[in-house]
Amino acid sequence: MSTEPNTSQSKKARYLTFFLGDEQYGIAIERVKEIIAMMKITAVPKTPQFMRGVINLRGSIIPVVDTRLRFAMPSREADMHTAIIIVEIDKINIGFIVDHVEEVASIDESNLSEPPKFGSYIDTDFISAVAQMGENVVMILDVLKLFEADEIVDLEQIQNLIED
Amino acid sequence: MTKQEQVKAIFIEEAGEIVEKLDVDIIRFEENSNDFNLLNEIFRGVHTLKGNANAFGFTRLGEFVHHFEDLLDYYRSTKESIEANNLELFVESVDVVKEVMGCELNAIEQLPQSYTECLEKIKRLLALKKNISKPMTEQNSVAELNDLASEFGLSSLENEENDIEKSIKFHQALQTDELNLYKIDLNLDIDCYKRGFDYFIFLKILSERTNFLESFFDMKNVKTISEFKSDENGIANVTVVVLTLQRREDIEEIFEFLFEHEFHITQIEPAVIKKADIKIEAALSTAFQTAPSPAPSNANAPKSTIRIDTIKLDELFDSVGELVITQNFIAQNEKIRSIEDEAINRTIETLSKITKKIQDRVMSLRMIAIKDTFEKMKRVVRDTSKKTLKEVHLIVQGEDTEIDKTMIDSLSDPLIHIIRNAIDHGLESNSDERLRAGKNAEGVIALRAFHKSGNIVISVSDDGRGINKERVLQKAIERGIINENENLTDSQIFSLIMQPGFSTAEAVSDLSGRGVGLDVVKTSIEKLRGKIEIDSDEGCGTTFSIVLPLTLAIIDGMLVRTADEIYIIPTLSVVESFRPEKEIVHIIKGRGEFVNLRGECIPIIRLSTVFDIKTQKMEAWESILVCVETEGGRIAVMIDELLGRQQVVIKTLGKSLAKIKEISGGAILGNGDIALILNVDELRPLNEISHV
Repeated sequence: MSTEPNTSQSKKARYLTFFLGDEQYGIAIERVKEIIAMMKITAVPKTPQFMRGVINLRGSIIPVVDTRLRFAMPSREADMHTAIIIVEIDKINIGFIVDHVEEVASIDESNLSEPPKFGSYIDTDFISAVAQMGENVVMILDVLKLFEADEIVDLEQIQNLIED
Repeated sequence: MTKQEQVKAIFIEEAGEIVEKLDVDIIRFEENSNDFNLLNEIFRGVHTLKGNANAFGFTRLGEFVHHFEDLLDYYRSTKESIEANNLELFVESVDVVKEVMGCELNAIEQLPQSYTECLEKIKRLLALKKNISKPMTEQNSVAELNDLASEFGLSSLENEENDIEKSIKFHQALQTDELNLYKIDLNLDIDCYKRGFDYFIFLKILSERTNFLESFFDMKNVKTISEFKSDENGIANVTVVVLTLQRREDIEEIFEFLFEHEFHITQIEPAVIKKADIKIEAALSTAFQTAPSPAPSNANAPKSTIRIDTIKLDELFDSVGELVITQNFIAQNEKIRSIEDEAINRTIETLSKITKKIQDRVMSLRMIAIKDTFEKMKRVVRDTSKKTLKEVHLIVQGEDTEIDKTMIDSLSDPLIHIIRNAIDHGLESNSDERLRAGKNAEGVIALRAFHKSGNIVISVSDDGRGINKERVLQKAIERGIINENENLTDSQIFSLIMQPGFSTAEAVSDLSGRGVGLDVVKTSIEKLRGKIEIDSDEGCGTTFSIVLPLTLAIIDGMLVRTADEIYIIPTLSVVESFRPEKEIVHIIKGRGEFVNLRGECIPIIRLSTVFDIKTQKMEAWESILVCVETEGGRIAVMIDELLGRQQVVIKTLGKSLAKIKEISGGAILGNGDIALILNVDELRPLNEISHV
């Protein structure tokens, strides 16, 4: 892994980074539609816990995922830093609640490496790469895996089956 | 999509519309075959279709409509009244056009059998018409130009020459690009019979090779009967005007055994470059021919319309929804209201008026009259009545009722189904049976559309034998749809016939009627958020009513609260709501809670349990029960409080949440909050379902 200054050949990609607890994560900026402050969420029954419900984003109804719960981290009260990142997946908008949004970072491709197999709360399936940024390690999320369109409900159905 | 594909898509859409219109027009024309405006309308449709079909290389369709057009044109130009059997041919032709179009679009090699049959019939009829049309055409062309004809006597030479000229003009009007117009002068010698010729041989050959033919016999040199010799040709001159696809050489070939002085062929150029005195009229005729759309009927000049993608309309609709909510927010905001400034108040007032207006307009964009659908149904009634050999009188009411475009599109099939059922099974099998029942021999089917308490109702009624409740019940028990001792209301019994599994081929013949696939009809109406109500009086008839919301996008909902959550129950399914007395609530072991509502035992569904919400109200008699009609019968939904009734714009929750069966969507309330819309059909408790 090279830590040398960028050469003309190096490719840079931009990521929106955010925090969940002490861990920093990144999402490819192309997928991010907007970032909004925490707002009233209407609960939707019969969905897994991490599915917090739906919000009214200027007239559109958008499902919102509590990213902490999705990663099996303990839940946390919303504060003034809590934000919802609206991400577009398969032409559907989905909101992800995060502790706070950090910055948009340019990360050189050469700084990306394979995700480690341990050391983080979350299932490594969701992480497509790990990037070194100064002293911090940023985990780049694969949003497609994070939110397969059908998974939320499918999971619920599987749970039901088990309970039955 | 490539440019080519785009153009093709436009063609397909346009052709589809033309065919649909033809279908409707032809039936209207069948009812009133003297309506020449309508005939012109049909002609224009076929003409446009011909042009389009040929442009896109749909030659088989092109060929057919070409001949069909010729036939229509014949009637159109002669104003000859149409014989009943030929009218039938018209209707048949429209069917063939429809089928062939399907074949062309799907690139199916095999054409329907009716294609050649019908084409043959058209050709035969045309040939026949052309042969017998000589005197007719002459007469009619005279009639058409009667202002000129009246100036001349009947038997003078002048008159004949005039007739020829008129005939030429007349044929010029019919002339299209590929057709040639010839004037042929035949002057057979006196001894021609001995050489084996006479005029009629040539006329016969000509008539076989041409599209239009008119002949003028100069009889003035015919000798009187005393001097007449049967072996001598007494007719000095015959002038023939022909309209044909053939070239000059082909025509000349016919006469190759005649002496050169005996025939003379003049090719007549298309009308535009004719002599000055007939120029105006000829030009008019050409205009009529080549540009069929601005036809004589200025009365119904086409409305100016533009095509808009419905997706764009939906987006506009969404945006307007937001506008209304935002406007409401401003109008109701306490801080803004506390500003005591007249100008601001007035502006807010104006804003809300304009917003309301925009909302109404945008709503109306999606609404179209149900007329076209009803017109289509006339065809269905006609066909079914012929097929079943039952005489049917159709009554249509409320065709101007407007309904959401998306609904109209998916309404045709269910309607067709219901109408066919009504005629086939609803009406008595023959007129004797009807007469015995003291009814007119002719069955009556009534198709109505009207508004009823915020909904649109489309009903199909017949005055047939009605539904035999006993037999329906019996059948339902046989098929295991209901239990033997279930106590059902009339409407519940009638709705049994729409249960899947109820209607099988056997059921149709066994039952007093009604049968095939009504469950499919039910499902498709439910997709439109509507429902079907059946009302029947045995011996007097049956009415199927399709009850639909005004638009797909908006429903009338009842706002209810459970704990802190607000839900919407579609008002369409609500029967009543009440706070039950403790005495009428029963718990049946293993089957849950029930409420005894005027003798009817209705299962109580606790919304808080279904959705796993904690609520303070633990007992049914502390809460409110909303009795709703569902697929599986009535249920009483237990909620904490009724909040009111409101029209809401339905929004989907997105693909990811669409699988939650209990919720059919969401709506944004005036304060910006979201309320989920309940799908009452899915609220029945699990244990009940497992029982079944």
